[in-house]
Amino acid sequence: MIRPLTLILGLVLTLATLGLGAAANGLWRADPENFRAERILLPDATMLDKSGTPFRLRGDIGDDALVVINFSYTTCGSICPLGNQILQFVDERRDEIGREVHLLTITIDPANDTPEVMRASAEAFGASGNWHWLTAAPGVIAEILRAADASTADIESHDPVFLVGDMDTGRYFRSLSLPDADELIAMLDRFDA
Amino acid sequence: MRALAAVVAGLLAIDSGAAADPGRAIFEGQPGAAGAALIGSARVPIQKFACRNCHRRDGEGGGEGDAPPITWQALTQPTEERPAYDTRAFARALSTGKAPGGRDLSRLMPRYDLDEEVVAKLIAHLTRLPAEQRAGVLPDRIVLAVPVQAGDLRLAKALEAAIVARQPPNGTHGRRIVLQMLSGDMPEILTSVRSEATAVLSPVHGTAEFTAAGIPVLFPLAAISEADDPELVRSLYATREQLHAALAERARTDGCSLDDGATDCALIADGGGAVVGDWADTTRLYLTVESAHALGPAIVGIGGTLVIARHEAATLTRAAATEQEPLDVHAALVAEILLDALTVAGRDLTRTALMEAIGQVARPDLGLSFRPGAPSGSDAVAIYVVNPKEDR
Repeated sequence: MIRPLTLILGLVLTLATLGLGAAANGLWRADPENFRAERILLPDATMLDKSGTPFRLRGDIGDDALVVINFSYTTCGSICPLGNQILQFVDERRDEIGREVHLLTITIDPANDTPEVMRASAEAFGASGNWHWLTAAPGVIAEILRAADASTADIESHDPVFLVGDMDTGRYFRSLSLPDADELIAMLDRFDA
Repeated sequence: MRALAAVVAGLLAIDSGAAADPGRAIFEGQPGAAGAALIGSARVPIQKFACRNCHRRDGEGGGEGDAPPITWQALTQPTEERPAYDTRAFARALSTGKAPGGRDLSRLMPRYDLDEEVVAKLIAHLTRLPAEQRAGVLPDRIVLAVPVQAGDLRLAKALEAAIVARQPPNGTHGRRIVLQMLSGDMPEILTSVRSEATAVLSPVHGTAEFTAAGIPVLFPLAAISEADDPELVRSLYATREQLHAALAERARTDGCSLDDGATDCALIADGGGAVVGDWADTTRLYLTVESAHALGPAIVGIGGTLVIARHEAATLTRAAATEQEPLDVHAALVAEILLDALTVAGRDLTRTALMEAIGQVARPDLGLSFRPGAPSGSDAVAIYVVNPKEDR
């Protein structure tokens, strides 16, 4: 028969071990609900921002900065506006995070989404200077989507993917279904810890 | 003067309108819709996340995110995933995201803060929606309304002839297109169209009045705006914004300055309402055909040259090449696109399904194709240079 005290001590020791393990892994402790931790190596692709200026996907983001990446397209009238609305909330709350945060909206419809079109959408959502609306040649977009495991043959049926992460280390959280701004802020906070 | 008259013939002004039905306002995201959408812990205006954005204007769902049908007839039927909705369950689903039976709704569905009375109005709209969306869709035919202006049946007859000539004997998916010629004042026409026709075909006037009533307009004669909703308006021709851009570009290549205060050239935008430069003393006036019409007789007094842009280039170019009447060419293009779209739309036809199907039609042989999200099938602009004094 196991004595109650032994049982309790054993439980405490087990919890302590788990806790130490989590601490050792830092942010890679148990995945939060609605997100999955992943390693993603995005290419340092040359894209165009909303003013038509070349933008290097990794090179123009500071090493210490965190990113929230969303894939969308401007003629999408259902899911994408919701995703952009959520990014707008995050954009407004960037100062809650201890590190520099950049938001990236990457079109998956480069044929239609020219920098001018992207600029109009960015203005509609009052995007700050840290919210980058990016387009590129179709081949470049395809390469980024492949790297992010967000490839889609049909832009009408794309998943609303958000990636929250650190481009420098390649550590990201991938949303499993549409997150809200509080969840995205909480994911950014994990990197801050 | 004949050339000028021909260039400016057949125009209209476009007015605006607004819906007064609170249920429709929420469903369609109209200005003044009561309530708020809740995205996480944040409230946003309900217009940003109207029901129709995801569930489509006909409430039949599908498309991106695979939103379910939300007509009241669909909601009150049980499915494998949930029991039937009633009023209370519907209100709870909107506010908490819980379907009857306790299942969580998709996270793509925002939560809504709506008064009980507003929920009732929304249910009333969802109840009316199937019949409204299938107005004019009968087992063996689809009825399209053609407003007739001042007894002039030329356009209506041209449309009818073009459709009859191209329509398969048994129709498309078992339905033949039937045109209903409507005359009278706008309220009378609206009343008829609302319940008896699937869409209005090639109106000369009143596009905005029809769309404000939720009635689709197919291939109007006047230029539309790029901002027009492609679920409610489909045009064969260039938009007003494209006309303006084409005129500005033409002025630039002509070496004309269109800056404020310039006297050598002037650009008049829609309806003569927006003028860049002092057009009264100009030597070259750049304007749309609608602006030319709005100026009326004053245009004859202009001493300089008129550079007039027309949006119906897809028809005018073809008419010139084939030596056909523009009216007949317009009718032929309408019939071709319409029959293609009906083939795409299938048997289960709604107003929204028809409009979406038109968006999927691509006819490069006719110079027409519809870009995603764009209400217009062509960006071609025809430019005419006229000197009124020499033309007299």
